[in-house]
Amino acid sequence: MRRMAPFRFLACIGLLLAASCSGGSSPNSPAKLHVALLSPGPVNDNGWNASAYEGLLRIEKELGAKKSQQQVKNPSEFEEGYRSNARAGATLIFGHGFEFGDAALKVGKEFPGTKFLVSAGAPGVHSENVASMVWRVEDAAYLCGRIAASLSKTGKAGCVGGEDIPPVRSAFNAFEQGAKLGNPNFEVRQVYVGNWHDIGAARAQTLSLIEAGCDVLFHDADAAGLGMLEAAEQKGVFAFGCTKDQSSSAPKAVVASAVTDVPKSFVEIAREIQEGRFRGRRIEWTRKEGMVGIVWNPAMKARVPAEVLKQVEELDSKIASGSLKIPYSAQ
Amino acid sequence: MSLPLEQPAHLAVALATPIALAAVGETIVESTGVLFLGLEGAMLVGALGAVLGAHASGSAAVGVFCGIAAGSIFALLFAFLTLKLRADDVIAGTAMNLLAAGGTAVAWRAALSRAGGDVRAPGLEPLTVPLLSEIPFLGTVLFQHHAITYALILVVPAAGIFLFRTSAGLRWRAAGESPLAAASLGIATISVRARALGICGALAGAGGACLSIADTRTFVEGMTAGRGFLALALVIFGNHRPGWVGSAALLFGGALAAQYGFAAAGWNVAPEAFRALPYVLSLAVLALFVGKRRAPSGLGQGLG
Repeated sequence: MRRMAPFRFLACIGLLLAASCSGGSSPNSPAKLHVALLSPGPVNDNGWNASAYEGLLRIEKELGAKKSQQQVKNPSEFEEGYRSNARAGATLIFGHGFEFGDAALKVGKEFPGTKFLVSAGAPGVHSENVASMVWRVEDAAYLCGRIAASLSKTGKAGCVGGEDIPPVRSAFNAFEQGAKLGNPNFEVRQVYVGNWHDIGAARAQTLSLIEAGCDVLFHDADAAGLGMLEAAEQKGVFAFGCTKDQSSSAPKAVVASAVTDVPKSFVEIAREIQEGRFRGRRIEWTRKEGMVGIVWNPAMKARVPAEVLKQVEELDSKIASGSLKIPYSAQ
Repeated sequence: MSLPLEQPAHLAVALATPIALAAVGETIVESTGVLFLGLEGAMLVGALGAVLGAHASGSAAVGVFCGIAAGSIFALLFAFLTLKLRADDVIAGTAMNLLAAGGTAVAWRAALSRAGGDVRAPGLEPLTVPLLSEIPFLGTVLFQHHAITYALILVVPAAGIFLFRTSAGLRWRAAGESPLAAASLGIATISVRARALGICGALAGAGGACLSIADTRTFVEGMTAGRGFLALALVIFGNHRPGWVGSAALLFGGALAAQYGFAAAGWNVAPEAFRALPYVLSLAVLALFVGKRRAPSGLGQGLG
């Protein structure tokens, strides 16, 4: 066996150390914003984590902030992730997922000068310097449901969820209420994949939904949702995208997508801190702030009856003005 | 007008296909005495290889071959580690799974960023078999699938006949029962095992290709979602007999299709119980109907 020369071995270690430190920072002037992102998954998942990273990049560009990003997998890393970034001088740290809640509250006490943000945080996750924010995709899901009722011939829609958790169920319930506005007897069936990446299972479950008579589909399943879109496209039924505009994934199936503007919300929070307006609280981003909404697939919009389009527009402006409140079930 | 249960039965066959392919491959390789735990990894590599191959060439058929080749190369790497470098089967297999999970993620991200964020492969279209697909019920259930499923229908009996009805199969099994005794009779154990691994990797790769370009036309990190491990379990339940292993996969696919059917019908009384149904049912049936367990006695024992 060949042996690696010791100095080469040391050089490798040195390189590794240098590489692992490059994400950190030297102490910087307090006036400058330094924003860190802790993401629970890879930032190029074209979904949840990608949108957060996009937010971080926009903060860097629009507010001239210094940025750092770190992927943390398990709860034992959450606190350490917060601590190391706070020590490195971060003024604002995003923990992108409700699972970061406890760690943010705990480390928040140790670093009163640093602001902590928890995405999709549970109620009660906030203190002096800790805030949580949720996106009420329900506002858009409600409109999708109303459109779905007008497109369905069978009066049945199917919803494919990743995991059976309150925010997903709440989005599907809003979808159902929107659909019932168009057709009081409308039926919505909810199925759950059990994870966020088994695209094959999501597709098979969608086929079962179509077989059971559902001719309009909605999802909240992140990457697995692509399986639903694929099945809808193949079987020629209508579908609604989620989180991002997904009309390119199934151009002949997707009528509209219920989208959340995560990057814009990130910039908003960073701006609050820069301008000294920040206070720890629970923030609900809704249609009202323009953080949630529907995006049409232009090619499919013509399939929706004109009077429904008009009603959807009216409902949308009512939701935007706050005169129509979509109930958020659970959570 | 389709007959009742026709569509669920069709779905059962489709769901069973990738798992059955990998499981039959593992049956062959375990018969020669190698425990290939890297099955999940081989499927994942096959799934990615198929999408990238189909995307680059514009042809789904080329994609399937790329998937098969990727799975096969992956398994041959395992052969190199265990047969040449004499690494432990279990440790090497586990390491290979980790390598596949990380490696496919890195490769996929590189492909995504090169393609500008969206890689869509041409999908493998279903082929309807003339005449046979006209048979009521069975025609729809068995003969309206894509080519990979038809390949599976041929591979299961072929594997059974090869292992148990040919002299070459006898030599392969001898390498699994007692590699030393087999070697003393002039059987090239290492070469037999390496060839078996190549075949197993190819079958698992085909299973992965089935998941990625036959069913969904894209890749998602970790999309095999444990199907390779499930296939490992089915080999034990199916008692290392290709026919039984294939049936076990079909039974599992059927239970899965039933669970999806119940959920789609809105029977959400105890979703957790329904979700466990495929596993419980497979376990119960196989425990009752498959005879005495017998694994090759040289399984995972290295070269003796």
